[in-house]
Amino acid sequence: MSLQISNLSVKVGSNLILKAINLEIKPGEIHALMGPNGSGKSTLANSIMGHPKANRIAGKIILDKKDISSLPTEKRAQAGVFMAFQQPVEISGVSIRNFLRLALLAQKTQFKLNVFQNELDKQAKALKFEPDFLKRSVNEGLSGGEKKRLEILQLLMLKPKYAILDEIDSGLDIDALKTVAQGMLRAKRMGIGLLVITHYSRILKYLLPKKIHILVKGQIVKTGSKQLAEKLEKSGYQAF
Amino acid sequence: MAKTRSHKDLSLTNELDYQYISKPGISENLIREISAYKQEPSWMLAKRLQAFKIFKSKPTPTWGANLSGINYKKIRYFLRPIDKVAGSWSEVPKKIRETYQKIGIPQAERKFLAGVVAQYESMAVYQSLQKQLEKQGVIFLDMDTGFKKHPELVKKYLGTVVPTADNKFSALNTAVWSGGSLVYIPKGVKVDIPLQAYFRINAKQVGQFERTLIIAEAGSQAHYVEGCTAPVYAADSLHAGVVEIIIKPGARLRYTTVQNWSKNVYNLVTKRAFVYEDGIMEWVDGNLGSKTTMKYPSIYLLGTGAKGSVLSIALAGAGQHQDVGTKIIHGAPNTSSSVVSKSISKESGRTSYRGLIKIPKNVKNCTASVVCDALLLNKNSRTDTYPKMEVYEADSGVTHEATVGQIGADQLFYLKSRGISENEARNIIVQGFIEPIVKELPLEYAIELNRLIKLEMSGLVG
Amino acid sequence: MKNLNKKKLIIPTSLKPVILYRINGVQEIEIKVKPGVKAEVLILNNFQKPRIESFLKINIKLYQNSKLNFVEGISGGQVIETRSVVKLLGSGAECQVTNMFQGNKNEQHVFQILIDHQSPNTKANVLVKAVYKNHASGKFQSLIKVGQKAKKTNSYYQDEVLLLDSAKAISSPTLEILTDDVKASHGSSVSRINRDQVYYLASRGLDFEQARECITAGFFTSVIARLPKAFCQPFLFKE
Repeated sequence: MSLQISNLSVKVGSNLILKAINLEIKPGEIHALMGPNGSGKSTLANSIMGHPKANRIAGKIILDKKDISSLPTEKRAQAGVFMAFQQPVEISGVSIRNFLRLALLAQKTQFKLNVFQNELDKQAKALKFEPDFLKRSVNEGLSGGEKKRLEILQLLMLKPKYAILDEIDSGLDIDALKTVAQGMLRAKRMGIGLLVITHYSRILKYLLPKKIHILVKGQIVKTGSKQLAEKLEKSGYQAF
Repeated sequence: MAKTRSHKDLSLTNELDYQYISKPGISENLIREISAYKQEPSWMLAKRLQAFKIFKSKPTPTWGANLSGINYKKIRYFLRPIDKVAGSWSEVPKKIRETYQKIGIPQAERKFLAGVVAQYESMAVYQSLQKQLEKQGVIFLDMDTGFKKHPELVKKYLGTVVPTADNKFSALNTAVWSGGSLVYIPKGVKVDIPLQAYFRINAKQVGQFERTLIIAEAGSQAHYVEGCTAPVYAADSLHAGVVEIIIKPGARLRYTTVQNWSKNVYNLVTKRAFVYEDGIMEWVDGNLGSKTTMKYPSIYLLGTGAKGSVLSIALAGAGQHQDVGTKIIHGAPNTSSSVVSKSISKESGRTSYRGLIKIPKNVKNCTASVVCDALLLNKNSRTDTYPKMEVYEADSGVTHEATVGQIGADQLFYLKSRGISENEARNIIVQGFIEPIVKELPLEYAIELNRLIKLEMSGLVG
Repeated sequence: MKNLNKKKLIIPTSLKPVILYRINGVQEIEIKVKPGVKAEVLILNNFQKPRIESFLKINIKLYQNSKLNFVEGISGGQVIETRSVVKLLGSGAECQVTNMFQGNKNEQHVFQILIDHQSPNTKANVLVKAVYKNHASGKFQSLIKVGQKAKKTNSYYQDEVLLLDSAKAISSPTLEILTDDVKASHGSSVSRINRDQVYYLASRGLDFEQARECITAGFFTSVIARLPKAFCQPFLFKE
């Protein structure tokens, strides 16, 4: 059981962005992926989620032994992949509550409405949302921090097998960062495997990832334990 | 601050000995005379005569501004002031130079004097091509000379973008054209300095029918600047120019106009550009003068990835109607366009925006945006917005926004609380309103335009 | 000429919302809202049969300090035309106009509105929302006219058209403003479904059709706040 990226190479337009990436995340594991701007971090997230512009030219994405490399985005989501967006998209007129219900229905999850409502209220509260918040439109008019917390709320409600979180920590103040990290740790305890894409090591202090991968120019140049983040903090990406 | 010239200076008309002055009115004979005088090949005469027939057959358009005041019989359709096109500034007749000085050629022209093609009356009197341009193979000539030197080029492209029968005034222009510019930028050549033409009307009832043709070959780049200002006359004048632009793949052209015709001129101009693969066309258009302007610089995006933009300002004072706008046809996929139009109506002035954005069926992934802002300064000022968006392909995105407003009382109060006079405060607000467009002009023109608007605002001109 | 149906509606006092139905054929409705009256009028179509051709002319006159909330919801029909003239005759008159269109197959909708501000301190706000699928088409023409006497007018027109499949639309929002102390603006957009939204929804497991449905449902939500309260329910999501 794992989300396995093997030998994945991806082009965007005519540019080769990812070169033979190998990664494996097991249920309940947290991995961090770090790298400078333009190293291909977001492209990797989008490749796993199946963005139409991420053109896979080699390699595979295997989810619990099932090859999902060629599936459209929604089928990957239904198979158990989740992505927290760096810039979550606004969908006007669709309330968060209704949206989550639609998403669960689409994933053919069996649920009772009252159980869903109760759990949603509970999770929202834990992420420090006001009760009225769920009536608002998806991401519309939300602050940066609210958007990021909403991505975590979706993660906890949709309960995928594996999740890729693209810069979930950017633009968060220290309190929001803690709230988001706690949410992620709850996801880990549910058995969700997490790939955390980040620039900074500050969120990693809460998450204590099992492995840290360094992505430079589309290649994973180093994989190590959390000490790697400390080293990065001191010397930057130049050392790699 | 730049020294402002007064209105009176502008009205001075120098007496000139015209070597050739046509009688008022238009006839087949006149057209034959013009063509013979210019020693044109027979195909051009045939084209002119055919155009004259079309001109006669088409009614004066009634869908836009009121053109009922044009008396075609009283207009002089052709005259030329001197025999030879001068090679340097000192060769230009003194009287003409004096007039130029009086109307104050912008600093831009002085700086790049060597590159100026200036049009005086119906023909160019002065032109000098920078050696650098010559070396690059760039053609930058007045159209009469250009036609003599490069007849094959003119024959190949003339009328391909704006057909003779496009409208009544394009037909009239084709029949009696004189002057204008011929610009050819060879493949891959980037012209760094703006190519500037400067012209004006200087005789009573003289029609100005310049014809400009610009060809930007693949991968080339240039900026063409046309600016004009005209003295005041008693009788109505007609300006009916035609500008045709062809932008080949990957080329980029910007065409900047600051129009300040005197307040009796009918300014009815047809301007259009064809843009091919990944080419870029930018119209920057300032309209201050004339009695009535009808001008809709158009862009036909004919190659995948082509882009077009139109930035325009119109200022209408008492008795003026600026009927301006644009037409953009997305004729190829992945093309994009943007239009920003700002207008100011003062006293009984009227500004209109008339626009069309068209995305035909099966032309995928095109985007277009139009923003029109109008500022009304007086109780009897008027503004209209007549946009049209025709979208026959669902895979596209078109937006249009327009606002109409006046100078806010709170804005005025704020500025006055800082010790600024009411007039100056109004000025500041108007200048701020047009800033997004002014900043796109070459510096010297930006200064000139700001100064002209300030003059208009203070009521010194009008 | 098909059967012509004329109807006069004079609203003398503030009432509960009035509902009118469109018919197959030509129809004229005149609405007068007397001074100081607040009125709500809803026009609906319930065309069950195919090949419906419905032409409706509406003349609305608003007198001093009257208020009208006017809503029209249209879906289906072969050819449906609405031509409205709203005259704000008395000072302080206000009008809110909301139109929703849904078109499928080869349906054609034409919407024309003239908002004529003739008196000072008048307000108008028009919102048109339309979604077209398959080969359906919509044509939207509007004119906001502010006369010389209509000082302190505040007028706004907005149309938003969402196109799917091979649908098409023409929008021509126009303004004629003859005096300075006014606020007038309009906005118009004709667009496809946003691809980023589709991807975001796909990442949550919704396929293209589901995403489209979700986005179009959301698209109409902004209209709800403008509906007479009694009629909101059918348009809301079923929770």
